[in-house]
Amino acid sequence: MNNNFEKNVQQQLDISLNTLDAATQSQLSQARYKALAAAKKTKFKLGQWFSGLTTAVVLALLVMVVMPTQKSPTHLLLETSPDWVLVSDLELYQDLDFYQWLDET
Amino acid sequence: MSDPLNQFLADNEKRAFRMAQFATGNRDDALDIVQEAMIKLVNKYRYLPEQDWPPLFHRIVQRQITDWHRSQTIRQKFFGWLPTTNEQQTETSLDQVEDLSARTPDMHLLNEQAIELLQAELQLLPLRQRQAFLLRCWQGLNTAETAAAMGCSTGSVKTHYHRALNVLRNKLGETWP
Repeated sequence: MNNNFEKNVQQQLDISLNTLDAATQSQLSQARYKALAAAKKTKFKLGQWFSGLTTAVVLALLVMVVMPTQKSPTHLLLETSPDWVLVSDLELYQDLDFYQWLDET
Repeated sequence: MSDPLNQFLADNEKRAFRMAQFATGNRDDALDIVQEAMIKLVNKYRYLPEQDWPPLFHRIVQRQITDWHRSQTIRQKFFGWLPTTNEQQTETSLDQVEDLSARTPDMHLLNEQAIELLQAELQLLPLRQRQAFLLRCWQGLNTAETAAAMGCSTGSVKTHYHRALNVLRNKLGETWP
Protein backbone atom coordinates (compact mmCIF):
# COMPACT_ATOMS: atom_id res chain seq x y z
CA MET A 1 0.00 0.00 0.00
CA ASN A 2 1.41 3.34 -1.02
CA ASN A 3 0.27 5.68 1.73
CA ASN A 4 2.26 8.62 0.39
CA PHE A 5 0.43 8.45 -2.87
CA GLU A 6 -2.94 8.46 -1.13
CA LYS A 7 -1.90 11.34 1.12
CA ASN A 8 -0.70 13.34 -1.88
CA VAL A 9 -3.96 12.77 -3.70
CA GLN A 10 -5.95 13.73 -0.63
CA GLN A 11 -3.87 16.88 -0.13
CA GLN A 12 -4.23 17.98 -3.73
CA LEU A 13 -7.95 17.37 -3.66
CA ASP A 14 -8.29 19.40 -0.46
CA ILE A 15 -6.35 22.27 -2.00
CA SER A 16 -8.56 22.10 -5.07
CA LEU A 17 -11.57 22.97 -2.92
CA ASN A 18 -10.10 26.39 -2.24
CA THR A 19 -9.31 27.04 -5.87
CA LEU A 20 -12.87 26.83 -7.10
CA ASP A 21 -13.71 29.88 -9.19
CA ALA A 22 -15.99 32.57 -7.78
CA ALA A 23 -18.81 31.81 -10.22
CA THR A 24 -18.96 28.17 -9.15
CA GLN A 25 -18.85 29.09 -5.46
CA SER A 26 -21.64 31.56 -5.99
CA GLN A 27 -23.75 29.00 -7.83
CA LEU A 28 -23.20 26.48 -5.07
CA SER A 29 -24.38 29.03 -2.51
CA GLN A 30 -27.44 29.77 -4.63
CA ALA A 31 -28.17 26.04 -4.88
CA ARG A 32 -27.96 25.79 -1.08
CA TYR A 33 -30.30 28.73 -0.52
CA LYS A 34 -32.71 27.26 -3.05
CA ALA A 35 -32.73 23.92 -1.22
CA LEU A 36 -33.29 25.58 2.14
CA ALA A 37 -36.01 27.81 0.68
CA ALA A 38 -37.75 24.71 -0.68
CA ALA A 39 -37.82 23.34 2.87
CA LYS A 40 -39.46 26.50 4.18
CA LYS A 41 -41.99 26.31 1.37
CA THR A 42 -42.82 22.71 2.30
CA LYS A 43 -43.19 23.74 5.92
CA PHE A 44 -45.57 26.53 4.85
CA LYS A 45 -47.59 24.07 2.79
CA LEU A 46 -47.87 21.76 5.81
CA GLY A 47 -49.04 24.75 7.86
CA GLN A 48 -51.67 25.51 5.25
CA TRP A 49 -52.88 21.92 5.32
CA PHE A 50 -53.06 22.00 9.10
CA SER A 51 -55.02 25.26 9.22
CA GLY A 52 -57.36 24.00 6.50
CA LEU A 53 -57.98 20.80 8.42
CA THR A 54 -58.63 22.73 11.64
CA THR A 55 -61.15 24.98 9.88
CA ALA A 56 -62.94 21.95 8.44
CA VAL A 57 -63.15 20.28 11.87
CA VAL A 58 -64.47 23.46 13.52
CA LEU A 59 -67.12 23.86 10.80
CA ALA A 60 -68.16 20.23 11.15
CA LEU A 61 -68.49 20.65 14.94
CA LEU A 62 -70.54 23.82 14.46
CA VAL A 63 -72.89 22.04 12.09
CA MET A 64 -73.25 19.14 14.53
CA VAL A 65 -73.99 21.49 17.44
CA VAL A 66 -76.32 23.90 15.62
CA MET A 67 -78.35 21.47 13.52
CA PRO A 68 -80.10 19.55 16.35
CA THR A 69 -81.40 22.85 17.77
CA GLN A 70 -83.41 23.48 14.60
CA LYS A 71 -86.66 21.85 15.51
CA SER A 72 -89.27 20.34 13.23
CA PRO A 73 -92.73 21.99 12.88
CA THR A 74 -94.25 19.21 14.97
CA HIS A 75 -91.90 20.01 17.82
CA LEU A 76 -92.81 23.70 17.50
CA LEU A 77 -96.50 22.79 17.59
CA LEU A 78 -95.95 20.76 20.73
CA GLU A 79 -94.11 23.59 22.42
CA THR A 80 -96.63 26.29 21.46
CA SER A 81 -99.74 24.21 22.18
CA PRO A 82 -101.46 24.57 25.52
CA ASP A 83 -100.93 21.87 28.10
CA TRP A 84 -104.44 20.47 27.75
CA VAL A 85 -103.90 19.48 24.09
CA LEU A 86 -103.66 15.70 23.85
CA VAL A 87 -101.64 13.66 21.41
CA SER A 88 -104.84 12.58 19.61
CA ASP A 89 -105.67 16.27 19.09
CA LEU A 90 -102.26 16.71 17.63
CA GLU A 91 -103.05 14.15 14.97
CA LEU A 92 -106.21 16.11 14.24
CA TYR A 93 -104.20 19.25 13.70
CA GLN A 94 -101.88 17.42 11.35
CA ASP A 95 -104.80 16.14 9.24
CA LEU A 96 -106.77 19.39 9.39
CA ASP A 97 -106.55 19.98 5.66
CA PHE A 98 -107.99 16.55 5.00
CA TYR A 99 -110.95 17.12 7.30
CA GLN A 100 -111.57 20.52 5.78
CA TRP A 101 -111.69 18.98 2.30
CA LEU A 102 -113.99 16.20 3.59
CA ASP A 103 -116.32 18.78 5.01
CA GLU A 104 -116.50 20.68 1.73
CA THR A 105 -117.33 17.55 -0.24
CA MET B 1 -33.66 24.43 12.34
CA SER B 2 -32.18 25.66 9.07
CA ASP B 3 -28.96 27.11 10.52
CA PRO B 4 -27.15 23.82 11.33
CA LEU B 5 -28.37 22.43 8.03
CA ASN B 6 -27.15 25.51 6.20
CA GLN B 7 -23.78 25.13 7.91
CA PHE B 8 -23.60 21.44 7.06
CA LEU B 9 -24.37 22.07 3.40
CA ALA B 10 -21.91 24.95 3.24
CA ASP B 11 -19.19 22.69 4.66
CA ASN B 12 -19.89 19.88 2.20
CA GLU B 13 -21.01 21.54 -1.01
CA LYS B 14 -17.55 22.12 -2.52
CA ARG B 15 -16.42 18.56 -1.94
CA ALA B 16 -19.68 17.20 -3.33
CA PHE B 17 -19.28 19.45 -6.35
CA ARG B 18 -15.72 18.24 -7.01
CA MET B 19 -16.84 14.62 -6.73
CA ALA B 20 -19.67 15.23 -9.16
CA GLN B 21 -17.33 17.11 -11.47
CA PHE B 22 -14.87 14.21 -11.46
CA ALA B 23 -17.72 11.87 -12.26
CA THR B 24 -19.39 13.90 -15.00
CA GLY B 25 -16.50 15.93 -16.39
CA ASN B 26 -18.99 18.74 -16.73
CA ARG B 27 -19.39 21.74 -14.45
CA ASP B 28 -23.09 22.37 -15.07
CA ASP B 29 -24.07 18.74 -14.60
CA ALA B 30 -22.03 18.66 -11.40
CA LEU B 31 -23.86 21.74 -10.11
CA ASP B 32 -27.20 20.14 -10.94
CA ILE B 33 -26.24 16.97 -9.09
CA VAL B 34 -25.20 18.89 -5.98
CA GLN B 35 -28.33 21.02 -6.04
CA GLU B 36 -30.59 17.97 -6.39
CA ALA B 37 -28.76 16.23 -3.56
CA MET B 38 -29.17 19.27 -1.32
CA ILE B 39 -32.88 19.54 -2.06
CA LYS B 40 -33.40 15.85 -1.35
CA LEU B 41 -31.51 16.01 1.94
CA VAL B 42 -33.39 19.09 3.06
CA ASN B 43 -36.81 17.82 2.03
CA LYS B 44 -36.53 14.28 3.32
CA TYR B 45 -34.02 14.21 6.15
CA ARG B 46 -33.81 17.65 7.74
CA TYR B 47 -35.63 16.46 10.86
CA LEU B 48 -33.15 13.65 11.49
CA PRO B 49 -30.28 14.16 13.98
CA GLU B 50 -27.34 16.11 12.61
CA GLN B 51 -24.97 13.15 12.88
CA ASP B 52 -27.11 11.28 10.35
CA TRP B 53 -26.72 13.93 7.67
CA PRO B 54 -23.17 13.16 6.41
CA PRO B 55 -23.74 9.50 5.43
CA LEU B 56 -27.13 10.35 3.95
CA PHE B 57 -25.70 13.23 1.94
CA HIS B 58 -22.86 11.04 0.60
CA ARG B 59 -25.39 8.41 -0.36
CA ILE B 60 -27.67 10.88 -2.11
CA VAL B 61 -24.77 12.43 -4.04
CA GLN B 62 -23.51 9.01 -5.13
CA ARG B 63 -27.01 8.00 -6.22
CA GLN B 64 -27.36 11.20 -8.20
CA ILE B 65 -24.04 10.46 -9.89
CA THR B 66 -25.10 6.89 -10.66
CA ASP B 67 -28.41 8.11 -12.07
CA TRP B 68 -26.57 10.66 -14.19
CA HIS B 69 -24.37 7.89 -15.60
CA ARG B 70 -27.38 5.72 -16.36
CA SER B 71 -29.13 8.54 -18.18
CA GLN B 72 -25.95 9.26 -20.12
CA THR B 73 -25.62 5.60 -21.10
CA ILE B 74 -29.22 5.50 -22.29
CA ARG B 75 -28.80 8.77 -24.16
CA GLN B 76 -25.65 7.46 -25.78
CA LYS B 77 -27.35 4.20 -26.72
CA PHE B 78 -30.39 5.77 -28.36
CA PHE B 79 -29.19 9.21 -29.39
CA GLY B 80 -25.53 8.54 -29.96
CA TRP B 81 -25.92 9.44 -33.62
CA LEU B 82 -26.86 13.02 -32.73
CA PRO B 83 -24.17 15.72 -32.87
CA THR B 84 -22.12 15.83 -29.65
CA THR B 85 -22.78 18.51 -27.07
CA ASN B 86 -20.10 20.71 -25.58
CA GLU B 87 -19.71 18.41 -22.57
CA GLN B 88 -17.47 16.08 -24.49
CA GLN B 89 -15.51 18.98 -25.83
CA THR B 90 -14.84 20.28 -22.30
CA GLU B 91 -13.25 17.02 -21.20
CA THR B 92 -9.54 17.54 -20.86
CA SER B 93 -7.37 14.96 -22.42
CA LEU B 94 -4.25 13.76 -20.68
CA ASP B 95 -2.01 15.10 -23.44
CA GLN B 96 -3.40 18.61 -23.10
CA VAL B 97 -2.83 18.54 -19.36
CA GLU B 98 0.75 17.51 -19.71
CA ASP B 99 1.47 20.27 -22.23
CA LEU B 100 -0.04 22.88 -19.97
CA SER B 101 1.88 21.58 -16.98
CA ALA B 102 5.19 22.31 -18.67
CA ARG B 103 4.47 26.03 -18.86
CA THR B 104 2.79 26.79 -15.52
CA PRO B 105 5.26 27.32 -12.67
CA ASP B 106 2.81 29.03 -10.33
CA MET B 107 1.75 26.90 -7.36
CA HIS B 108 -1.94 27.54 -7.88
CA LEU B 109 -1.73 26.52 -11.47
CA LEU B 110 0.36 23.50 -10.54
CA ASN B 111 -2.40 22.36 -8.27
CA GLU B 112 -4.92 22.99 -11.01
CA GLN B 113 -2.80 20.91 -13.33
CA ALA B 114 -2.47 18.13 -10.83
CA ILE B 115 -6.21 18.16 -10.32
CA GLU B 116 -6.89 18.18 -14.03
CA LEU B 117 -4.49 15.30 -14.47
CA LEU B 118 -6.20 13.40 -11.70
CA GLN B 119 -9.60 14.30 -13.10
CA ALA B 120 -8.62 12.99 -16.51
CA GLU B 121 -7.48 9.71 -14.99
CA LEU B 122 -10.46 9.44 -12.69
CA GLN B 123 -12.79 9.83 -15.64
CA LEU B 124 -11.16 6.86 -17.29
CA LEU B 125 -11.96 4.68 -14.29
CA PRO B 126 -15.22 2.71 -14.13
CA LEU B 127 -17.88 4.54 -12.12
CA ARG B 128 -17.81 2.22 -9.10
CA GLN B 129 -14.01 2.31 -8.84
CA ARG B 130 -14.05 6.10 -8.99
CA GLN B 131 -16.73 6.33 -6.32
CA ALA B 132 -14.93 3.93 -4.04
CA PHE B 133 -11.63 5.74 -4.48
CA LEU B 134 -13.00 9.22 -3.78
CA LEU B 135 -15.10 8.17 -0.82
CA ARG B 136 -12.32 6.15 0.80
CA CYS B 137 -9.28 8.21 -0.07
CA TRP B 138 -10.68 11.74 -0.04
CA GLN B 139 -13.85 11.68 2.01
CA GLY B 140 -12.09 9.48 4.55
CA LEU B 141 -14.96 7.02 4.93
CA ASN B 142 -14.17 3.54 6.14
CA THR B 143 -15.09 0.45 4.13
CA ALA B 144 -18.47 -0.01 5.79
CA GLU B 145 -19.42 3.66 5.39
CA THR B 146 -18.34 3.61 1.76
CA ALA B 147 -20.41 0.47 1.18
CA ALA B 148 -23.44 2.19 2.71
CA ALA B 149 -22.92 5.27 0.55
CA MET B 150 -22.51 3.21 -2.60
CA GLY B 151 -25.21 0.70 -1.76
CA CYS B 152 -22.99 -2.36 -2.16
CA SER B 153 -21.07 -4.88 -0.04
CA THR B 154 -17.83 -4.12 1.80
CA GLY B 155 -16.10 -6.75 -0.32
CA SER B 156 -17.05 -4.88 -3.48
CA VAL B 157 -15.77 -1.64 -2.00
CA LYS B 158 -12.39 -3.23 -1.22
CA THR B 159 -12.11 -4.63 -4.72
CA HIS B 160 -13.11 -1.37 -6.42
CA TYR B 161 -10.85 0.69 -4.22
CA HIS B 162 -7.74 -1.40 -4.71
CA ARG B 163 -8.24 -1.64 -8.44
CA ALA B 164 -8.67 2.14 -8.68
CA LEU B 165 -5.65 2.72 -6.48
CA ASN B 166 -3.46 0.45 -8.58
CA VAL B 167 -4.51 2.08 -11.84
CA LEU B 168 -4.02 5.60 -10.53
CA ARG B 169 -0.68 4.80 -8.90
CA ASN B 170 0.59 3.28 -12.11
CA LYS B 171 -0.50 6.27 -14.18
CA LEU B 172 0.17 9.12 -11.79
CA GLY B 173 2.94 7.61 -9.70
CA GLU B 174 5.63 9.59 -11.51
CA THR B 175 3.82 12.90 -11.06
CA TRP B 176 2.64 12.20 -7.52
CA PRO B 177 5.14 9.91 -5.81
